[in-house]
Amino acid sequence: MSEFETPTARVLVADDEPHLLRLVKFRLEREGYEVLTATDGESALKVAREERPDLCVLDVMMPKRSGFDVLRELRSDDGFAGMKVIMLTARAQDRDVDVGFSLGADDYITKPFSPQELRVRIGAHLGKR
Amino acid sequence: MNPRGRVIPRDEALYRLSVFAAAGCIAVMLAALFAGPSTSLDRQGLLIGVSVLAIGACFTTLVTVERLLRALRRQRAETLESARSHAEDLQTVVEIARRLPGAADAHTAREAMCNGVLEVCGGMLAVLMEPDGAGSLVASAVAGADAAPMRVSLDDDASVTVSAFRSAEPYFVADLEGHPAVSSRLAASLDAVSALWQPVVRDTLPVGVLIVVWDRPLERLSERAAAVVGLFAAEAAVAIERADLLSRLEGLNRTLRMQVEALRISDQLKTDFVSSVSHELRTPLASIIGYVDVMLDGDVGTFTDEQREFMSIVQENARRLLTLINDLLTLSGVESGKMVLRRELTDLRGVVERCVRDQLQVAEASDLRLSLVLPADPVEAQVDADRIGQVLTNLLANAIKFTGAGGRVGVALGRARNGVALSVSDTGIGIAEDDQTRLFERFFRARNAADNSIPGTGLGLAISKGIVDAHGGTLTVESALDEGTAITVLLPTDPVPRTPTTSPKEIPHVRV
Repeated sequence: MSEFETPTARVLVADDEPHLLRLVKFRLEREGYEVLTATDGESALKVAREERPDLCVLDVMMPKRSGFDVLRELRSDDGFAGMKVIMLTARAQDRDVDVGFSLGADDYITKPFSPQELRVRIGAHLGKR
Repeated sequence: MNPRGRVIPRDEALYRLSVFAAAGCIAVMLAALFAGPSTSLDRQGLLIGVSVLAIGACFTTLVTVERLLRALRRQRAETLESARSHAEDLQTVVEIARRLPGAADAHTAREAMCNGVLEVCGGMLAVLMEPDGAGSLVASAVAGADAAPMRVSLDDDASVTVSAFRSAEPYFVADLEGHPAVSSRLAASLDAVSALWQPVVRDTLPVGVLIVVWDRPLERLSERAAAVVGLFAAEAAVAIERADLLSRLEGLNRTLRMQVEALRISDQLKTDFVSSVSHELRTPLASIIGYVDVMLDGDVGTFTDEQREFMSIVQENARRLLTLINDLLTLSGVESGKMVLRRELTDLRGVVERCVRDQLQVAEASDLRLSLVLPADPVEAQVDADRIGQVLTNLLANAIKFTGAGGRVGVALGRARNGVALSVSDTGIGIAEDDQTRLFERFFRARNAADNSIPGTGLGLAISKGIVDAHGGTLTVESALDEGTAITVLLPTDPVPRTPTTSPKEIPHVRV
């Protein structure tokens, strides 16, 4: 594994579905990322502000604040300009995808996701090969 | 005052004067003749007499001529006056007739008619009474004065209004005060003196009564006034009918608009429902597929061969379920017209090549020959490459599914008139003619497909057609049972977009 060569990237995963959260966490940890988790929009925003992860994987439909809400907050703050955000959601309709991108998401992955795709996309956004 | 009152006596006086003068002359002449032999004095007298007689005759002639001239002048003036009055009537009628059909609604048409009658007949009040459908005649329009709301029961046999309505005959009362059948309220409250009840008749059926009231006595109703009111009533019947039809049409239009709106809302609810149901289904599926993936990857320990096989079956079926959900979601988008196309100028050769390559393994596994014909030059069109890829994949999957071992499946891309043509042909089981017309209905499956237990949901072609339609293209089928099927997609090169397109963005479109 490569974590000994490059500093470990930190990824925040926010999802209100505990099984899915655990699955993504499991996959990403296998890839050598340090994974932070949140189960609602408000705590996702709190963790993002306090821990400043390199990348966020956000579910859209979450209690308290939606993933789109969190994304909007993050994008309105210049302090988070370098933070990558990937929307991971079961809302697969075109207009949802459009909303995600128009709010400034870096990528959009629909559930169920393929582990390879998740790996490749996160890697690409973090400049990994 | 009539000018004739002055003219005639003066004429008469002159005339009588001249007659007297002439008679005087004759008397003098006769006296001279009977007086005896003529003297110079007699001669003189005779001469004077003749002169006076001549002057008298002249006078008489002059006066007669003048009387004649005056009479002629008067006649001419009267004719002119009458012509002018007729012209005015005509103009008023034309004016009203012109105004009536243009009236926007039933009420305006009725008011215009009442106003028109007053204008022409010089009355003080015009009221239109119409049946209210509940056994009474009520005022539907009033002009000239504010009258209390009028209502008369159709059972009221004493009412002039009711009898005019029933008999469809006009009724005139010169002096309301002395008339027993007229309600004193009407006469007293309005200082009304004379009144006319004119039935309004449409297609020989009475539809109302037009009441015209004057505040001055009319000894009798002139033919002209009767004709004008009658004309108005006839005109009004037509205008009111027209306005009633228009307002009914307006009502129908309103209902239709409301129904369309209700449909739109129900359609939106359906779309929202499909969207949320698909979300609810995808979320647990994401866990099932995800954890099975993890286990099959061997990340949490190794399986026995049988365990691996069974997990693969779980995996395969979960994916089938996912495909079905995705198809339903796409179809719902296609049907609600909410599918967003990301059109870009695309060389379709790349799309076709990719799709064919993806199906190569499946075709080989089914022992089929899959051939591809691509032109040497780019075949470009403004399309959503992912969506067109989805169509081709559907068509190819069908062709492979419905063609037995040893068969052939061919894909060809080329230019067509005003666009590009993409065809998928096979030597498969074919589609019966009856089934071809229903092929694009959702969940429809051809009989021979179902009979042969060939799996499928009947959504692929409905989706494909929806996508092609959204591109402004056409999808045609040629098929014969047991011989094969050829499906051709025609896409316009430069289409007029039917659905709103978003600006092309760098979107790595994902389909799991």
